[in-house]
Amino acid sequence: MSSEEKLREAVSLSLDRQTMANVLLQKQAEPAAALLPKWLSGYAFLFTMETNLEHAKEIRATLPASVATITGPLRLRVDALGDLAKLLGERVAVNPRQAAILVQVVNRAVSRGASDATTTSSDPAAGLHLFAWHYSSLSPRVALESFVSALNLGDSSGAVATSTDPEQLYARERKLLEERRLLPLVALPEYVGHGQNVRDWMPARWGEWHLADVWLDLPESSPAKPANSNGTETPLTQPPAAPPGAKP
Amino acid sequence: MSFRAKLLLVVLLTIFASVSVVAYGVTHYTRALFEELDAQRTEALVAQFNKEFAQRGEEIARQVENITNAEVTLRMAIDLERPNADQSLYVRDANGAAQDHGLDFVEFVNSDGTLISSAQYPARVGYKNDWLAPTSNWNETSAFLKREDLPTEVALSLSVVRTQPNVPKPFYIIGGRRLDKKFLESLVLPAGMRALIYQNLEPAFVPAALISAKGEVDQPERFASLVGQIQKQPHPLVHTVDWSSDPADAETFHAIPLSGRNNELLGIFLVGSSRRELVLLTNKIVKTAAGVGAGALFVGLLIAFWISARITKPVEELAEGAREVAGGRWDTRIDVHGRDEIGQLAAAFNDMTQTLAAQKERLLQTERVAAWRELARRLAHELRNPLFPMQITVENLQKARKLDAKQFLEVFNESTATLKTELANLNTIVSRFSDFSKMPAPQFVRLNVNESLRNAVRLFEPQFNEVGKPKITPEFFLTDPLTEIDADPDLVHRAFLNLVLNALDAMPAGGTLTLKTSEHDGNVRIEVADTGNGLTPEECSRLFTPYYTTKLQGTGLGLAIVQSVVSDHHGNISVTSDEGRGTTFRIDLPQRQAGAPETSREAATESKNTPPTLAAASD
Repeated sequence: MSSEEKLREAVSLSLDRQTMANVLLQKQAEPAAALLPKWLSGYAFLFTMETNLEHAKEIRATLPASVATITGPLRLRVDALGDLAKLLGERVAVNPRQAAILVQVVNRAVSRGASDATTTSSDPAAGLHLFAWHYSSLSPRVALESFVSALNLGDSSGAVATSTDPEQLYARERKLLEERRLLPLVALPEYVGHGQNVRDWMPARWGEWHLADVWLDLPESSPAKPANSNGTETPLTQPPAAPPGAKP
Repeated sequence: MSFRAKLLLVVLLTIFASVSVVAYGVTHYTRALFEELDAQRTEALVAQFNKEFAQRGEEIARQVENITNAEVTLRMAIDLERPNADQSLYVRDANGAAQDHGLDFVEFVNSDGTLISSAQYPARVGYKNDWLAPTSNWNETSAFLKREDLPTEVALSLSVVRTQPNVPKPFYIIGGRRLDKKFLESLVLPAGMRALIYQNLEPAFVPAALISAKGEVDQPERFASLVGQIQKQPHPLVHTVDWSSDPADAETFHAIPLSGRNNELLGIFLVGSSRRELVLLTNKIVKTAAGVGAGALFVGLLIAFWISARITKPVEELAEGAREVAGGRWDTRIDVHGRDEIGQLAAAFNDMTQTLAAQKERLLQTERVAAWRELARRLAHELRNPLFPMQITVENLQKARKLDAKQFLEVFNESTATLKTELANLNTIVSRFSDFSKMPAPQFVRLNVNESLRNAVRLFEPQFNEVGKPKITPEFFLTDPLTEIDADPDLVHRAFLNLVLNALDAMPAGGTLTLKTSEHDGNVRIEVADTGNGLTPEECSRLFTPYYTTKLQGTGLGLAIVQSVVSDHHGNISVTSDEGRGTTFRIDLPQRQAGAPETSREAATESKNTPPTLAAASD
């Protein structure tokens, strides 16, 4: 196993997904070990959380002393959409630090439309990249395929890519995750709230807005009521240790 | 260097040294005073810093206590006492508390040390703060310096820890504020002073960790050595930073280490004091001292000149008197000024010259009598020699009166011839004495000594190879060319004749006559040496005395004439003799005579061609 693979494993083992979901996200999210949530794939429970700080420390001890230290920390690029992503990014930086792996957070402001896993050649070099992924299909095959194509993971050819067999999907997802280049963190539902004077707010089941049908009841002005849960879950994933400039 | 110059120099040096010492003393004393004043200002600033530190700590403590005693905090503490309490509910409470109470850092920590909420680093929730548990009386502790690990940096804080008193298990509230430029801005500094803080949060020197009230510090790397020293030995230090080549730009920093709860070095408080005022003041004092010193030196020069003149005048008079005595004025007297040592010396000098003059007079009288006696003896001896034959001749004439006419005529003719001869001898003797008494004053012209010496020797060439007599060989060792001298050719020629004649008389058994010329220290030296029997020391000492001779036939005037000529030419004559080996006469004649006219060589040559008077050289 190369040093980079060891480093990826140590980072993965150091991540405390439970605290991220239950404390920082105040139980509004679920710890994620798979790319597709359980309700979408049905087999997510087969992926296990592998948090083990002691083992991460042991792996780190086998790595060269100069790796991920103060002189050359891992850079975590956070495509920040707000305090939440920043908070999660800081947590991702804090956890490996307990295993003597120094991670430096680099915030990068992006628009909502660009908040996906795609990167451009002008992105600053970063070893880690924290991003949010929005599911846009009820089909696990389509969701996984869109994930693979968006990230240029390069295994979408052949019958495997078109199969809807859960076993083959599971195998494909496991293959994607086994090198730990993608580390799912949490699955977070997306919430949208609107005021009481908003009428005909009927978004699509997977999040698309149909603003052409929306209208406002102007004569009545009243405080906005809490939003209804209506959206897709968004797992925050992190592709670790990508080479500088490479797409995850 | 004359005595007056030395005395003047000593007095001037003394004045200069005195002024320098005074100027240095004043400068040193002023600088010491300023340094003391600077130290007092620094102490005051440090005291102000400590006071501000304490006040800021008290203020933070009040705010933390307000948070601690707030109802929401109490509810949180009670809620978290429950088993399986939901800690996520309070993740953001610290941030709100920090904003409400104007603190930079607020953290809530459970009884087991678990971080419940952090305003400055929310991502750290869930981690343990093990350093809290060992201290049980946090509510009685004051503010302390603390290292704050933040997501993107490390900061230095002044923090306070309090526990919620109304819950059984300790529930910790940690609050603090950054120790940054805002803190430095709150310090009131005197003019010319500034305060810096170095946040010692990394093992190596970090330039950005050095901050001032204005933000970053120029050339922070200049403090690296100072920080390094305090990191090794956390004691207060004083360090001067020269910001440029101008000493006025220098700044003295008093560095005070700031420690945390466990005496770990977390920061360094630096109080900088500009040295501009000190340098300007010192320069002003130095300039003033230089001006005063120059004035004092000028006045001192005048006074020293007057004093040295007063002191050295009697000494100079003494020296002049001594020179006059050396020049032959034995009756010289000098004025006696005062009764001090110099006056006593002058009086003693006068006594000495008086005694010397009296002794000289007595000596002269004695010598004069001796000379007259010697002259009388010589004259009697010289006169007796012809008188005795004349007496015998006259007595023979008286006896011859009884003889016949033929015999009488024969005796008469012999007697008259004898009388004529002896009368001629008497006349010769009288002429010699007359010539000696009539030694003329020298007429100086430029003279080539080598030629004069050769001419003198040439006159005796017949005697060198005279048949029937031992041979005498003349040898010349003449320096050629030899500088011409101012001399009287006739007198010098006469002196050379006497010396050569004297040498020939000293070698009745033959030998070598050596003649040398050379130049020494502006003089021309002439040496005439023979290989005769030599002279005793006593004979040498009396050799130039008139009418003294070691020969059976001689008037004792030859060498006296030589000495007279040399003396008239302001030269010296000396004699050295080794008994059995010969005698050497050495004459030193100066090249130039005072007041001698620039006579042409032709004139001198013409003068030299005048036939010498051999009779004057006879001895």
